[in-house]
Amino acid sequence: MKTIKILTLVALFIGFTSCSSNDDLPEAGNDTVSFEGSFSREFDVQGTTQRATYSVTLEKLTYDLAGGFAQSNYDIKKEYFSKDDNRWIGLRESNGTYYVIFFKNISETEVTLYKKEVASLEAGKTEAIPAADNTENHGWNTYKKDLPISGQIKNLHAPQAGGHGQPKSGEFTKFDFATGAITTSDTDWDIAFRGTKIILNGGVSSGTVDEPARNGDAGAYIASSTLDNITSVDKSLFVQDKAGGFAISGWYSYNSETHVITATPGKIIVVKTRDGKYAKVEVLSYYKDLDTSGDSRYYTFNYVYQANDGVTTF
Amino acid sequence: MVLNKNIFVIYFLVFLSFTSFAQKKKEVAIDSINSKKLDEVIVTATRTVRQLSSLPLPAQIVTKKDIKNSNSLRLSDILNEQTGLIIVQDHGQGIQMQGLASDYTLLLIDGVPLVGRTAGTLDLSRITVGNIKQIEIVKGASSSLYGSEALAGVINIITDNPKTGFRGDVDLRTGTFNTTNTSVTTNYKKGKMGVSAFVNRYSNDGYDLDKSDVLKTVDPYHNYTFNAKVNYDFSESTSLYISGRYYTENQKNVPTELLVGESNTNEWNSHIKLDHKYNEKWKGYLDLYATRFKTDGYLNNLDNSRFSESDYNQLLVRPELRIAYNANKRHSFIGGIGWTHETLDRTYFSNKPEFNAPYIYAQYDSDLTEKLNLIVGARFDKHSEYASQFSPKAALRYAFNDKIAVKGSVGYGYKAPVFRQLYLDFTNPTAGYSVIGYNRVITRLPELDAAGQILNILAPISEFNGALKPENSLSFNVGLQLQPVSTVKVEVNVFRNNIKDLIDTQVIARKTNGQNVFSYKNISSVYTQGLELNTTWIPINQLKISGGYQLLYAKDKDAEKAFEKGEVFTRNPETLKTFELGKEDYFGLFNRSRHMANVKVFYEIPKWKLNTNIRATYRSDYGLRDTNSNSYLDVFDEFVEGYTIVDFAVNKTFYKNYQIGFGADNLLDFKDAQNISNISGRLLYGKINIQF
Repeated sequence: MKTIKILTLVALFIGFTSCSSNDDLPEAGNDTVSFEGSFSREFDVQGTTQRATYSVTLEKLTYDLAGGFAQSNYDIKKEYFSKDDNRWIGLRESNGTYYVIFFKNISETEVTLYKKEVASLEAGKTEAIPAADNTENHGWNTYKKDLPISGQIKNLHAPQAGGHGQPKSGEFTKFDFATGAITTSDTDWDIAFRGTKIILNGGVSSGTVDEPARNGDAGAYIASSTLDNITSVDKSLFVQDKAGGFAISGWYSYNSETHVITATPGKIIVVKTRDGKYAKVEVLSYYKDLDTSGDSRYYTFNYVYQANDGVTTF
Repeated sequence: MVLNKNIFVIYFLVFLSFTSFAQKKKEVAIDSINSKKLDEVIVTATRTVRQLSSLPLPAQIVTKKDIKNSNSLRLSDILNEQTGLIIVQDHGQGIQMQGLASDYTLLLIDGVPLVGRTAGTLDLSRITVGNIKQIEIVKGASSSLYGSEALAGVINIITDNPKTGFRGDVDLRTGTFNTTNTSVTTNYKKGKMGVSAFVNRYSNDGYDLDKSDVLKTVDPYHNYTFNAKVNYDFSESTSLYISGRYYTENQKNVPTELLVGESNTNEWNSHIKLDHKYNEKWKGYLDLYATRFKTDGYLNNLDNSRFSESDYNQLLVRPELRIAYNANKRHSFIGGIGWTHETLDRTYFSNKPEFNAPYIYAQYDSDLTEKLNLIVGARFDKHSEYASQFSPKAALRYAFNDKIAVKGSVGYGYKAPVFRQLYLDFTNPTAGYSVIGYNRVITRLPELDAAGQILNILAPISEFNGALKPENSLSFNVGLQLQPVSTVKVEVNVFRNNIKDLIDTQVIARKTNGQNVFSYKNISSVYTQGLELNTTWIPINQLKISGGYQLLYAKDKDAEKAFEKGEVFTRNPETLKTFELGKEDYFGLFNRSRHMANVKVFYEIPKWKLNTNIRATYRSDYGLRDTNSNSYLDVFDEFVEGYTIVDFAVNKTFYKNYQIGFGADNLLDFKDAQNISNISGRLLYGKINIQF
């Protein structure tokens, strides 16, 4: 069987190259894929968010499944594509599985697709287009182009020594958007927290005690909006930490009567990460488990991270 | 109260308020063109004796009779029951008028200013009502006559003058929380000489609204007021008036479980006035006034070591010369020239600042026609420490007939920067932040910088080269007076105050310790607008029913813009979802109620020699705090619920000179421990009054 497949592949390859070299009309199944890009969707499985991404190029399609419930990542090499019915057939070379993928509603911002495992390339060609309400094989799903990663960090502890007239000190708690996690790395961090101070891995030390060295190119600005309504970044607004000043300030309000620090609603921190990607952050609380009567210096924040290079939209 | 019952009584009242201005036994010139009847007169509005009902300005009077029958003790008690006024607790019991904070109402006692606004509020609980003849309230900016502080209006407390013969009055009231008030007045007047002495002692044990902690809401305190007056008529045309007042208060101070202290207040006022009538047209008045207000306090730790001390010592001296010229019955002028000298010695001041401000003013009051009255006036204040001020005012009243009149006025008001805003030099010993007065920034900030305390300067020092501008306002009042029948009076007044250059604190630098340096700047603009309605109905001679209402919108202009532009947000506390607020979500300034109302019924039963009254005041919901941290008061904030206070009093007279009374202030026992510290709950009391 495998030999036949390979032979078919070779034949197809020859056919493809000869076609293109002869400048003939492409045969059915050899159409150029008319859309490229990274398309993702997020869904819940037993309470955890899963994220599925199809990265489409002319030659292959990479499938990535991330999340706490299941993970997977493989390439599907393009074997066949017809723009008549947007049928893609490809081979997952790592285990020799054929997939047929039907695309519809292709636009600048999203696609809707249906993926099914098939026995062979030929079986893929004869597979009927599933009905819109077909729920087998996870059914039809819409994938957003360049969908940023959304996450929430709960109770990031940002302790601090000093204060009350004494110099503030202590290690900053660093956060990396790419991994969506706290890190102790000296280089792979974007923003860091200590008390109410939020610093960036960009610019120069503001001059306070125990600040980590900057080795990235992070920047930030504060926008007045909701997290959802910040749909693109304004590159002209980014500033970096500098001697005597932090790029990120004014994100909270202090109540002198109750001494409670509240994350000011509508203050969105827009971040350029150390490696030039973009993120937006809304701090929700400065208290452990969001309880203002409890311990402070525990950040809970929502963030959205645009992992795609050069993409300035969320 | 029975109005216009006895023409002699009215005349006597008019006469009394005149004694300091005009000569006795002489005809009193009253502007009576617009009304055939004599009625209450007011001196505050024009600095001349004016009939209240014909005045083109919004004004009201609280009479001695109402104060007495209400069994009020302190000025704050009685003012809180007047339409459009509300007592707000902010470092003392201050008055809010036309939606403006208590800093913006000028308080006068017999025409001269009270001082001692340690934190902006002039504490009205300081003032006993025991020797008050009447309280005059003029609304709308009045700096054209009075200079600084008269933005919202002026409240003038007119105290009793000596009456003919030897008289005396002893008044005792005691009640809940050991609230005990004793007033003794003696008075002698014969021929050219009149003297009076007044002593008041007030004390209470304080009260505790929140039993969950060991601290009291208000600690025990007691105070004394002494007032002595001498009137002497050199001749029919020259008279002298001397008044000395002294107030002293001592209060225990237990702010936390770990601190115990005491605070003392001492205030004196001395006022000498010389009146001279040159002829029927020209009169001159010379005022010499001086007042000192002192507080000192300390807090000790539990081991008796000193935790903190604070003191405040303000002196005001003001000579003023006034000339009145009555061209004829229809046209009169008044002009004045004076000089204010003020000093303040205070904790956290690096120097002892001094203000010197000469001023001059003039006013023309004319009945242009029988129906049309016009008042125009202006004042110029030259000041040593801030920009000079020119304050004009104009008012018109047109009476269609005896039943309907309209009036309107427009005026400029301002409030000078206070010492604190110019000279404070304070660094919080525990938190480490600093506050520097505007005039001190130029020298002090470089000093801090040189000492290595400054991380970076946010507001360039050059911004502090000029003078801080006084807070100022333009106020508009349009009113309608109706008296459809002789027993019913209705007054409506629509007001708008545009206030700008409000002085706020602003961060001017960051310190190396992570804290800020603050100073004061002219920042915000606000407006207050609304409508006031006053009605009185006297269906029978023994019964007076009155009702008042105020509708108020008090808003910050920048805040309005921020809401319009969609820059204000709030977060749903459950879902934590943030959403944008619209213009309609902006409520306005803190501590302002949209609606305030009062109803009062005074009833007399002559055959029993008994008078009784019930008074109810209502204020609607208001916001005290920005509970959702967007720095604005919006409809999603938590509001203090509206409430009604009902007061009841009954007094019975025996043998002509003896009176006993009892009553209940706050009959319904309203309390809000969390939000309202100055309402103690129900106060039951009894009183005895003896006249001789």
